[in-house]
Amino acid sequence: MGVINDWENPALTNRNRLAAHAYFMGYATPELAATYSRELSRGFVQLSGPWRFRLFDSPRSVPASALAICDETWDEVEVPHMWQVDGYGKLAYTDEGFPFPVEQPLVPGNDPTGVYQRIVKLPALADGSREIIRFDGVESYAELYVNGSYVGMTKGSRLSAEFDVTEYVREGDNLFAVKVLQYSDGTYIEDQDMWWASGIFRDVYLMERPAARLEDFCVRTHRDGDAAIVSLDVAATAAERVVWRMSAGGATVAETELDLASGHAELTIDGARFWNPEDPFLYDMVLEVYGADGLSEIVPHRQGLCEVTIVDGRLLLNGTYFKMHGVNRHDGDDHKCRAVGYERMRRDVELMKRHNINAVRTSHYANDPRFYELCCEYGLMVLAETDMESHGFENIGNIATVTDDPAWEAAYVDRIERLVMQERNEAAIVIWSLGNESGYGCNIRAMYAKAKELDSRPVHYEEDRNADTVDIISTMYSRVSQMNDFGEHPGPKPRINCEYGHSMGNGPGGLFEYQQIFDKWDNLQGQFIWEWCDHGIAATTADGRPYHMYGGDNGDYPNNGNFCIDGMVFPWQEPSPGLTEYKQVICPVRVSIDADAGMLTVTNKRWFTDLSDIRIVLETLVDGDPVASAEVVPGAVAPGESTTVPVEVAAAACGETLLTARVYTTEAKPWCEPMYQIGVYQFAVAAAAHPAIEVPAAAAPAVEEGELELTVSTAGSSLVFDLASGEIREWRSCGRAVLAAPITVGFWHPLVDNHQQEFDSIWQGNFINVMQTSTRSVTWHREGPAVVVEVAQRIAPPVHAFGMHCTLVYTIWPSGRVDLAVAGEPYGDYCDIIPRIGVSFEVPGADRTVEWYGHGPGENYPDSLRANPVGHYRAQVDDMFTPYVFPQDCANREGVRWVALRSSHGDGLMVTRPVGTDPSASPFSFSAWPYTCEDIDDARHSCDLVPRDTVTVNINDRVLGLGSNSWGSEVLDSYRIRFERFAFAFSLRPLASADLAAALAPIKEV
Amino acid sequence: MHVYETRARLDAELGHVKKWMRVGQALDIAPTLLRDVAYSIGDSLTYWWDRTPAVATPDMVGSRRYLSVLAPIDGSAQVVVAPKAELSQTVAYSDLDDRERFEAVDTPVVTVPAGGVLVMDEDEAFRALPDPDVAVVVVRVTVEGYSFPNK
Repeated sequence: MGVINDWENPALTNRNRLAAHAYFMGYATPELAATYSRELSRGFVQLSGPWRFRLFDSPRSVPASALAICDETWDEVEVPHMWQVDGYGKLAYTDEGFPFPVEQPLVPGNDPTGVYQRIVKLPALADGSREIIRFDGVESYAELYVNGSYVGMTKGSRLSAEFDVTEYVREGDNLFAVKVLQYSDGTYIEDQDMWWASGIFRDVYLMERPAARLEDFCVRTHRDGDAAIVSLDVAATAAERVVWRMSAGGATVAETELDLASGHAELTIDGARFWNPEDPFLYDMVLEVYGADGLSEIVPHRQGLCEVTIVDGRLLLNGTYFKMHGVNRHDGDDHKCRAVGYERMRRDVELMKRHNINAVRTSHYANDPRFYELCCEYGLMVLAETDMESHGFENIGNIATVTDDPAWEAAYVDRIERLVMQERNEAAIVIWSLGNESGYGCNIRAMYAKAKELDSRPVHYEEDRNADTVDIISTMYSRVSQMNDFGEHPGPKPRINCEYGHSMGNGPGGLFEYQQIFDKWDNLQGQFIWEWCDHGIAATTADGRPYHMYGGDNGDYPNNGNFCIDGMVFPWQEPSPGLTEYKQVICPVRVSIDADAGMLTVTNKRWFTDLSDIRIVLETLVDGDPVASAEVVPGAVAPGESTTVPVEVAAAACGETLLTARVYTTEAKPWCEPMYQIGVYQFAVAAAAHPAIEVPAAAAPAVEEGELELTVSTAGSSLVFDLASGEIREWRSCGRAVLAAPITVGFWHPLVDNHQQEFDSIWQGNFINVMQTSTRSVTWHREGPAVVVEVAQRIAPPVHAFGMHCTLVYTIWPSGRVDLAVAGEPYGDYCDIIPRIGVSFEVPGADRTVEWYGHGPGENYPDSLRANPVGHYRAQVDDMFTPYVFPQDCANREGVRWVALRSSHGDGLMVTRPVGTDPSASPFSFSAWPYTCEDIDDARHSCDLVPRDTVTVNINDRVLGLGSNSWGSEVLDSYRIRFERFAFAFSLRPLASADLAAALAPIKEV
Repeated sequence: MHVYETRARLDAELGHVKKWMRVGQALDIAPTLLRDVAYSIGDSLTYWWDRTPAVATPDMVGSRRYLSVLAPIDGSAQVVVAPKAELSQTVAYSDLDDRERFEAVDTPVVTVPAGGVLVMDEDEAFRALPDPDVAVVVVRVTVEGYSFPNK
C-alpha cells in the first residue's frame, strides 16, 4: 500500500479537532444568559444558510484553489442540507448492505466530494479570546480550510466537532471552505438503515470564547431522601473565580464558589424537585466565570436533577422504579432527509408526548444537541445511542469484522467518548447505548469502559446479547411469548426490548398483547417501537403528482425498496393509525369496570406523579349513539395505585348498551392543551335484541327466466342474475343502480407490508392472490314469500389441486332486501392462513358517504383496534383511505353492526347481518375504497392511484390480523384465519332515502 | 414428538436448518449460564436450564407457535407426551404465553437420556416429571419454517 489517506485510516479520528466537552454557550451578561438564546451568546455567528457548493468526482479531483479562492460561479446551496436531496449525486437506500465493494478501511476512489465555500465577515477578536467553529453534523468526513489554510479534519458524521480557528481568521472577510467526502473509513461503522446521503446536515456556527472561560463542566446528582446532593466539576482557563448558582422560578435555591484547584464543588438542595418524564422540572443553573478583569462570562444550563441507578437488577430513576414506553427515532424530514430543523425536532417531541410515549432511543447515532434539551424540557427519557453500526459486514459473513478488530478501537471509543462528554449533563438521558447491530467484540468492551469512566449511568448494547459486559439485557423483535419467557425467568440485570412493533406500512398489530407482558414483569423495563417516522423523501412526477421516494426510486441498485417506510409517523409528520393504537395501549391511566358491582376502577400506571389532573368522562351509548354522560374525578391516586368509583349505567331495555370512558388531562402543558384526551376505554353493558317486527309480505317477487338471465322483480327493485356466472349483472332500486359491479367471494386483499413475508413464503407460491372463480351451477326456487337463487362455485388457484367449494344463496324478499348466505368447504391440502374471508362488490361513485356502527372512527384491524371504540360514525370514502407511502390494504373497520354507503341524498345500500342475528355478538368488517383491489396491489406509490368513478366495498366475515412481520412478530395465533370451512351471511338493503330507521328495523316478512 | 438419543442425531437430521442450528448452540451454551434465567438466540428461540422438579408441571401444557424442546444434562428425564386432541383442555390458549393447558395424564411416558433431545410437535402437550431429579435445558423454538430472515 502507498499513502494512507486520512479518510481511510480508522486509527486517525481527527486532526486538530478540539477535545469533546459539555455542550454550552457563554454569555456576556446575566440578562443575555437568562434568555438561553444561542443567537445571543457571545460572538455567535450562524453559518447555516447559503454556501457556495460544488460536487467533485473524488477527493483527488478537488484542486487546491477550490479550498483557497472563493468562486462566485459555483452553485449556492442552503446549509444544513444533504447534497443528494438537492440534486447533486444520487440518493440511495439500503438497509444494511454497503453501497460499494467491502474492503475496509478502503472506500471507492471515486468518492463523491463536495466543497463548500462561504465568506464570513468577522470583527477583531478581543485579546485572549478564541474563535471556535462548531459543526453539529457533517457526513462523513470533513476537512476545514480558513483563508486557504488547512485547519483540521473530523470524522463521526453525527457527532459534533469543534475547531479553534483563532490563528486563521482576521478582521473583515474570511473564506471558510469545507471539503466533505461522502465515504470514509467511518462509513463502515455508520451503516445504519437509512438513506446514503452526505453533506453539512446540521448547524454550523462560530462562537467567541473569552480569555477567562469555561472549558467544560459536569454535573452529577445523588438523591438522599428529599435532598439532592449535586456535585460539579469544571475545567476553566484563566479563571480566578467560578460561582455556581441554582435557581428555581427566579429564586436562588443554592449557591457556592468552586475550589479552583480541584475544579470541584458540591451543593445540597433540600426538598429538591427531581426531574422525571412526568414532571420534567429544570433548575436554572448558571456558572459565572471571573477572570482578572472581573466577570468574564456566564454559562447557563437548564439542569434537571436526576440519578439513574440499578438496584437488585432494576433500573431506578431517583430511587423510583419505572418502565420506558418508547420509540426509536431517526432524524428524518421528507424535504431535507437527515437535515432536520429545530421545529421538526420539537414537533417530533410534542407528538411523542401527545401519544403517551415517555422514552426515545436515538437510533442509531447522536442527535443535534438541542434534541436532548427538548427531551429534558418536555419530559422524555433518552436511551442515548452513539453513531455506530457495522451491520453491512453481516453480508460478508461476520458482522463483528471490525467490532472485534483492535485496529478499530480508537474509532469506536472516540464515538462514545464524544457523546458522553457532550451530553452527560442532560437529565433526560437515562441510558447510554454503544451503537446498533455491529456484533460483539473487543471494541464494545473498550467503549463500555470509556463510557463508565466518564459517567455512571447504565450502558446498553443489544448485541452483547447476554449482557456479559453492558448493564442492560436487550433484545430486538422478541415475540410476545418470548418476552413472557424473559419475565418468568428473569436475569440479574434489567431487560428491555430495544426494537419491536415494526411499523412498516399498515400496522403494527398485536401491540396490546405485547403491552400486557411488558406491564406484567418487573424485570422488563422498556420497549421501543421500530420506528418513529417513515424515511420517504417528497418528490413530484413529471406531470406534477406528489409522492414520496424510497429505495430504487433514484436508480439506486442494490436497494431495499420501501423497507425505510416503516414509521408510526408519515413522512409529512402526521400520525399513522399505528401510532394512535400505540398511544392507547400505553395510556398511563387504566380504566376497568365491574359491571355487576357497579364499580369503575381507575389505575395509575404513571411512575412518578398522581392522577390529580385526570378527569374521566363516561358516555353511555345505545346502539352507538350517546344518551347519557357522567364525569369521574379519580383524585390524587398515587403511582401504581388504584381507586374504585361507583358508577350507574342504565342498560337500555332494547338495543345494545355500551359505556365509553374517555380519559383527559386537565393540565395545560407545552405539548397539550387542557382537557386533552390521553386514552379511551369501552365496556359492554347489555345487549337486548330488538324484537323482530313481523309484517305481511308484499307481493312475492316476480321471476322471469331467460336463456342467459334470471330477472327477479319486486315492487321497487329488480335484480338480474347471469345464469352462467351466477353474478348479479344488474340491481336497480327506485330507478337507481344499487351495485356497480357484482358480488364476489374473496380471500385476498391488497398485500400489506406486514404480510410480505407470508406472501413470499406461503401465498405467492400457492397463488392465493390470483384465485380463479368457476361457477358450476345456478338454480332458483321459491321459498315462502321469497325467491332463492343458489350459485355453486369453485374458488381455487391455478397450478395447484386445492381450493374452496362455495355456495352462494341469495334470498330476494318482497321488500327488495337481499340476504346472502355463503358457505365454503375446502378441498386439497392447503390449510394455512389467508388475508380474509368475505365478499366484495362495487357501488356507484355517488355513494361515497359512509355511515357505520362499529369500531371507529379511525382505521382498525382485529389486532389493532384499542384506540377505536365502537360507535356510530360517518366519513367519506376518500377520507377513509389511509395514504400509505406504499399503497396497501387499508380503511378496514372491525366490529361492524351495520354499514351504509349512500349518496348525498341518502339513497344507496345498507349491509347488516340477517334479521334474527345479534349484531353485537357477530359483527363483521368492512372497508371501502375509491380504487379496486388490483389498483392498490399494482400501485408502488400513492401517485399511481387514480380514483375511480365507483366505490369498492369489502364486507368481510373475518380479516387476518396485521402482526408486525415486515420484521418481527407474525400474526398472533388468535388473529389468524385459515383456509378452512366457513359459513356467513349478510343482508343487503337498498336505501331509497336518508331514513335509515326503516332499513335498520328488524322487519320479518311473513 | 421426536426423541433424538444424542445431539449428533439431532444435528444430522436438522442441523442444516438455521433455527435448529441455533437450538444446538443453545444446548451447548445453556449449562454455562445462570440457572432459571431465560436467554435467546436471534428471534428463533428462548432457552434456560433448571432441574426437573422446577420444570415439571401438574398438568399437560401445549403450545402453538413454538416447539418445546427438552434436553437432559446429567441424567435421564421422564416426560409425559400426548396428542392435544386426546386431552381435556383446562385453560384456553393464550397469545401471551403461547400456552394452553390440559388435564394431566400419566402416560405415555417418554424417557430422554442425558445428552438426548426431546422435541414436542405442535399438536402435542407434555409435562415433565419431577423424578428423577436431573438438570434439563428447555428450549422454545419457533414453528416458523419458511424463508423468514433472522428467525
